[in-house]
Amino acid sequence: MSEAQAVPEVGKSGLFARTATGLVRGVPPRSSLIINFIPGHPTQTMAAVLLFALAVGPGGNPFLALLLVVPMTLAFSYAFGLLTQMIPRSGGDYMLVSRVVHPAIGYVSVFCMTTAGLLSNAFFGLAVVTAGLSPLCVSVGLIGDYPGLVSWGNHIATSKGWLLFFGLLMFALAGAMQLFGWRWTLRIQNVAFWMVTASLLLCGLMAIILSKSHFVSKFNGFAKGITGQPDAYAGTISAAVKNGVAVSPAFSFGQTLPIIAVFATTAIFSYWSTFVGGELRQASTIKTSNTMALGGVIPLILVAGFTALFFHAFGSDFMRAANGGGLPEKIAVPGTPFFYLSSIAVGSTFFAILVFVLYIVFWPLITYISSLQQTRAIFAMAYDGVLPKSVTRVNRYGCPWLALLIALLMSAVVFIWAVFNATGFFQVLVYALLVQLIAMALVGFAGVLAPFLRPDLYRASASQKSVAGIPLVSIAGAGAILTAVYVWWAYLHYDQLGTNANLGKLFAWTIGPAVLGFAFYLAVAAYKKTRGTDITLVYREIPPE
Amino acid sequence: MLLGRRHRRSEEPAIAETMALYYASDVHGSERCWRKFLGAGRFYGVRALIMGGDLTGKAIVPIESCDDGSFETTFIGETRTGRTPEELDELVEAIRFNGMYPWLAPAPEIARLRDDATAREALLEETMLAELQRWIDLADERMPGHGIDVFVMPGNDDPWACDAVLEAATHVTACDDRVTMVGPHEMISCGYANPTPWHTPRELDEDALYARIKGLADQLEDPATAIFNLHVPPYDSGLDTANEMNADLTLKYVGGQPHPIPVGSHAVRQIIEEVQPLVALHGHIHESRGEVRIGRTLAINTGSEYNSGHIHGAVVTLAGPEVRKHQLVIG
Repeated sequence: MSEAQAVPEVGKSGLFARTATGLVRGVPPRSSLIINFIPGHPTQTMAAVLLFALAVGPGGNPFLALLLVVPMTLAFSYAFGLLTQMIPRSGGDYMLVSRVVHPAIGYVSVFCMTTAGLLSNAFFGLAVVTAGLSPLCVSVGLIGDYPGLVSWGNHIATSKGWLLFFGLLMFALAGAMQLFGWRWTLRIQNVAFWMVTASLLLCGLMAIILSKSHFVSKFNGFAKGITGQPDAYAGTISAAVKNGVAVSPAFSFGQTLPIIAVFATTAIFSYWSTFVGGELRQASTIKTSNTMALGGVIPLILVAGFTALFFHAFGSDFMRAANGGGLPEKIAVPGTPFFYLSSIAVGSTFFAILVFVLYIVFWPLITYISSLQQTRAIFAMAYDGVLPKSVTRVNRYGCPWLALLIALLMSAVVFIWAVFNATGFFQVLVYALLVQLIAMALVGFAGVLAPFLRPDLYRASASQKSVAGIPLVSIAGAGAILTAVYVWWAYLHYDQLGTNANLGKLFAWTIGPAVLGFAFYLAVAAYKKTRGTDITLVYREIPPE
Repeated sequence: MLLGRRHRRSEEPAIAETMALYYASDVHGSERCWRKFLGAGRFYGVRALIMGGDLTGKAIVPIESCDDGSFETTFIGETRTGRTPEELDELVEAIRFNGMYPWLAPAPEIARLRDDATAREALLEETMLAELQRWIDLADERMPGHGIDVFVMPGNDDPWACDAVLEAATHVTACDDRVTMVGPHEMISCGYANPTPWHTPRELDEDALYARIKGLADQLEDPATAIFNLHVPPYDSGLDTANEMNADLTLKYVGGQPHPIPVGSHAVRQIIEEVQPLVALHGHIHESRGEVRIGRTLAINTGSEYNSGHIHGAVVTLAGPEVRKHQLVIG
């Protein structure tokens, strides 16, 4: 995972260096920024989260919510980033928590994080069809007048066979893109990232160029051809109002609070490069934290900007109405993604195909990004002697193929369960965020304690920064814990978020993995002891002489 | 039955006593790792510490001093400034923690050395030796009281002048290029590497390296219980994987990507296969930490992440002609 290269005689930093062997790592800061950007990619937030957020908080101000999410994002970015600078090794939360707090707590964290990762991967397997291929086919079929395509698009979203086929194919693609080493992986990642971004930019460009009256006219013309309804735009709004949807609600700060919690489902994960901390170039510098912060804040700014654009181009009342079930049934597309509305405004089948295809790339991309957590955690645990060394096998390109295979197979198992028991799966999926927040809060806890438990490491690192005499990493850690507590509170408090209906199940899927992680540590330690190996030695820091 | 047991015990060789050792390598100037290396003896409860080479750091961090007592430097991508002695001490400690050497000088002196390769080289060597001397003095002072033997050899990256510092030590045993006794086990040590793209101080072609190690191995009385302390790992053992490089020190790409290849020593592999010692301890390739069996020999590369403040090592317990147990550790 690292490459050897010569150390220059006088380094860029002004070092006087001699001829000796040296190491550089494979992931440059730009690619690191993209890794951190992808989990909260604005295209995905706009397509899947924005309208849900508006629905759960009628009267809530999405712009204010986005603004309030910024410090939450920064708290996690700097908690993870500053710790990763101190301990620049792959493994993410497992590495940070086990090294700073205690290995047993590291296992609690990694079990929670992995549970969330596997549930998320399974969701991505479904979403590539339900939020990608199916809306693509239905939208293109409607706009281009291909009834067969509309029918097939609706069919694949409910067909177990097609869901399995496309979902497993996507897992295979996400795995294949990692097989040939970092250089190729990052190339593919960056190309895919720009494809997904281009889909949003194209729709945004359309929203800038075309007026709202143009959209209304095109939409009515499009709908009339299918439904016969003369003013479907106004009809959509009035139908939604009849159904009780507040299309122009008065501002309510109270209703903004659940929107914050919904935005948090995509906006607070811009720390993802921590999982490949040992592979980042300049990992010990403040660039590590800053790329995480930028990866979190830039998407939020873009979401705010594009939301304003689309509200302006389509009408916020219409968007709320369309999302609230007001669209005539014959032209309804699941989730009414803005790609569909943009394509109607442009009135081009080609445009629809283009933006949807560019967007669909997001799903294998996010699956690959998500799998970094599982592969690197497996790798780190094997490195520590907890898992068999054989799982650390890498191929000739340096890809940890066995760990990757294990991660994707586990994801596939959860995915297959999701396909055959969709109701049960979606009940559990909503807990993914909450269980992940346990791991994230533990990293926050590690951040709070790091300057005190690991003072030498802290002082010797570029993370030694303070505000009013308080270490920045401790402040960020405390902010991360508070954010986790807030989101947990929101999901327990607001019925419309769908998590508090079955508290027994909720705690089983959130506290359960934490308990399992702790038990796993105790079991492994006991087993290894019978073999003459004291696993605690692996982690214990030697007191310097 | 009881008699039988007694009989077998009486036939066991005298070397059957159990002995634990701690091995680490490639600390590259990290004072923190060196101090942990010395602390590992009592921490893991071992009788011997073995340092497998590459002791010295790779770079000096010039700290610009000003007349008013303030200072400024660029370190880990950041400009660090300060005024007080305490702030300077903290910076110096941080630089040493990361395996580099601090050097405080006025701006004109720093600028002069930037343009003078010879003076820069002299400063590097002088600084390296002074730091190494501090390390060895620390070991000589502390370790006798703990009853822990310390064996140290230079590696391919270490300049020749290091040898004199090691040889002059009182408690630390300079073990390079000789047979030493680690408890009841004989140990041969060789800090040389096969040729590297950097042309570091201690490199030999494979034939010469083989001859050098073979000469040492021939002096062993009981090779089956011996320890091989060889800086470079055996070729194609999984302990020696690194990316291939061109002669101009750029990475070699195959199919558009870096090309991992085995870069260990054929000579080391051959001598291990021929002599089949009890255990072979290696460093050199930081990213190839692991263990492997070559015939009956357990070969270990502990790897290195010296600039994280963690020392990578191995605790190995030997009992006569067998390795009773072994564990890779990060301390």
